[in-house]
Amino acid sequence: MVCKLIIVDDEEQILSALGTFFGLRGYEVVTSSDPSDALERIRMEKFHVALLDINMPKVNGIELLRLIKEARPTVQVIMMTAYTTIEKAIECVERGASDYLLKPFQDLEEMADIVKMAADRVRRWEVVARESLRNPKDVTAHRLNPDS
Amino acid sequence: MNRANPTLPALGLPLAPPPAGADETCRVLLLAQETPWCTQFKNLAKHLGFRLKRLDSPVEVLMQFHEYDPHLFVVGEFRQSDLSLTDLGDALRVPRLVRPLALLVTTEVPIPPGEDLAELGVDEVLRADAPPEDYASALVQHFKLAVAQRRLLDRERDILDSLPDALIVVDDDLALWKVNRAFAGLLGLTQVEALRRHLGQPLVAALRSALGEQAVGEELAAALTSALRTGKTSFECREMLCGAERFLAGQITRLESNSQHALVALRDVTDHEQALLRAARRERLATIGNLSVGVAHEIQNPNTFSRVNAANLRTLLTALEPMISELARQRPEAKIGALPLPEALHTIGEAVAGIEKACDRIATVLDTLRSFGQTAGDSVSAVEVHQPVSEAVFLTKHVLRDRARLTVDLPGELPPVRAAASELSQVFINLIENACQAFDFAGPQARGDGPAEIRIHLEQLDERELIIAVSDNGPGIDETLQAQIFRPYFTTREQGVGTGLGLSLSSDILRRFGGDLTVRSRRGKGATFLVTLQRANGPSSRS
Repeated sequence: MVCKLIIVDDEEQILSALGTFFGLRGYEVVTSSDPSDALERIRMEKFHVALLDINMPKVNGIELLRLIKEARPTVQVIMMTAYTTIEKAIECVERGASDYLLKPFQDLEEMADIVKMAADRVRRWEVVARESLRNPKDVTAHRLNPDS
Repeated sequence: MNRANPTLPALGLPLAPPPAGADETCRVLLLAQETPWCTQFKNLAKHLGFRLKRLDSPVEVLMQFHEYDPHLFVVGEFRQSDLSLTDLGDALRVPRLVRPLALLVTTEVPIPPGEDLAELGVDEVLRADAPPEDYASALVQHFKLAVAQRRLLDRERDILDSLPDALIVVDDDLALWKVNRAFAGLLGLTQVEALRRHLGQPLVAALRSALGEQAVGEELAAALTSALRTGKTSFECREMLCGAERFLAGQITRLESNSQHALVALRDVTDHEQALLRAARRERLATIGNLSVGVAHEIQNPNTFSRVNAANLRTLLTALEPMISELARQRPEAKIGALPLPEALHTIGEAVAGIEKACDRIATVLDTLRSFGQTAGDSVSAVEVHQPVSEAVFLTKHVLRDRARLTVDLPGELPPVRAAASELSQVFINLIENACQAFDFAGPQARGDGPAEIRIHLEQLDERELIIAVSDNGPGIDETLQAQIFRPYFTTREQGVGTGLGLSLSSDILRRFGGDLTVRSRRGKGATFLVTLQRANGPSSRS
């Protein structure tokens, strides 16, 4: 199943570059420079992962993270910031972000891995959800297995 | 104790005792030969209870004048000598302002042609043909007046001495007329009398006489002269006092009683100046920091974009490579411009690698700028020495270029020290730049052995301190100059090269951290600056 990724950043060039980067790695990518539009699409469509820039005009990434988690709790949100401090990163994780990326992305493969792990997590949950409908006992076992 | 007799029956003259301070005896200096008049005058003085010293020549008068400290100076006669009455009057003009006295001459004393008695400072002319008792009353009055004037000066001196500001009174020619205890204290003198002995002398000469130092007072005199000439009421100067450079702020008030004299209040504002310098430096650092963060942010986004796009190009290239190789095999003649397809593919790969490398380099610069910006103006905390050293090395690359080779030889693990990271960076930047400039200044012929080298290494590490050495094999520093190089504005370079503040500020910064900056050098043998820092978790902090 193709993993669906939405990238939200007010820098069009970065959007374009990241869109291509993840597109070349097999993701179905949607990019948006408008947080409100992005939120609307997330409400309407199913995304596995959202990459959000923290510092954006109008609605900042931290607020957008809150709104996304309200609308779609299972979407894995990864924050991006140019000069985040550790406090900001912690704040994002406390608010439900699964990880964060620092710009400029020093190690692009690591970035790809982080996004892939987030996508895999959602896919595992989907498997768990499907199995839970068929056999609730197996699901419990699956949940208790830390390697799952 | 000699006391003036209230009446002199022998002369029949009513006499009032000396005024306030009745224990003060009138001292009379008499310039006269042993003549009958002289004998009569001595008798009169004796009757009045005055002490009298007779001298034969004006030269003797000048030699004994200060020690005897007369209230009355009486010139009975003035024979031909090396000195004229005019010379004598001139010589006594200054001492009389400091210690008032009356100058009396008899009618036997020839007045030099063209001279005015008032100009000569003569207070009264005594008739030589009259019996001395005729002017006994005048002598007593002059004595009273001299004592009163001296008391007034004493009171004024007491007031001046009680004031906290350093005060002097100078005239337009910068002769020193009054000085108070605080001024003496400013110079490091425990006794203000050491200066008062030289009142009336030019300021610089008076200070040198009192302090016995060659270069003291020149800056103050220059600033004061300039201010007096231009009518300014305030001035500032730097003066070497007690072996250290001090910043002085002066306030000038013209005296209403004598417009040629000015009261100068001086205040040592060194601490204030240094606080301002520190504040300015911190503000500048903070500004540079903000600027760095701003620049880093502005460059960061395009760099991110370039990095990701370079990665995209590489991914595409990797995907295209087998297809292009296949095409090249099928059509060996196929070229892009002059390049055969395999070579074109290789060129594209190299171009992408070049972009990636450039992006990495920009990212490193941005990291340093951001790190510098985030710590600029920060407070003292536990700091890893490696970070400020690395920043300094990075930020001085443009200064170093091919002028000197810089090596950092520090152990991988060092304990944290008490410092503000950005300011510690500034110290290392200053020391590296200083070493570079030393090479330039001296020229290669003055350099020590081998090529120009700067080395940053660990000098010492104990449970309390960590000492980092910044060594160079440059021309070294004369031992005579080593004590001065940490003083503000001291520079051995040409005018316009360097501010002369680098080492002073570095020393100042390190002292704020409880550390120190010292130098070890010999002429022609290079220099080693030792940066002493307290360990953050050391047993105790030096205050």
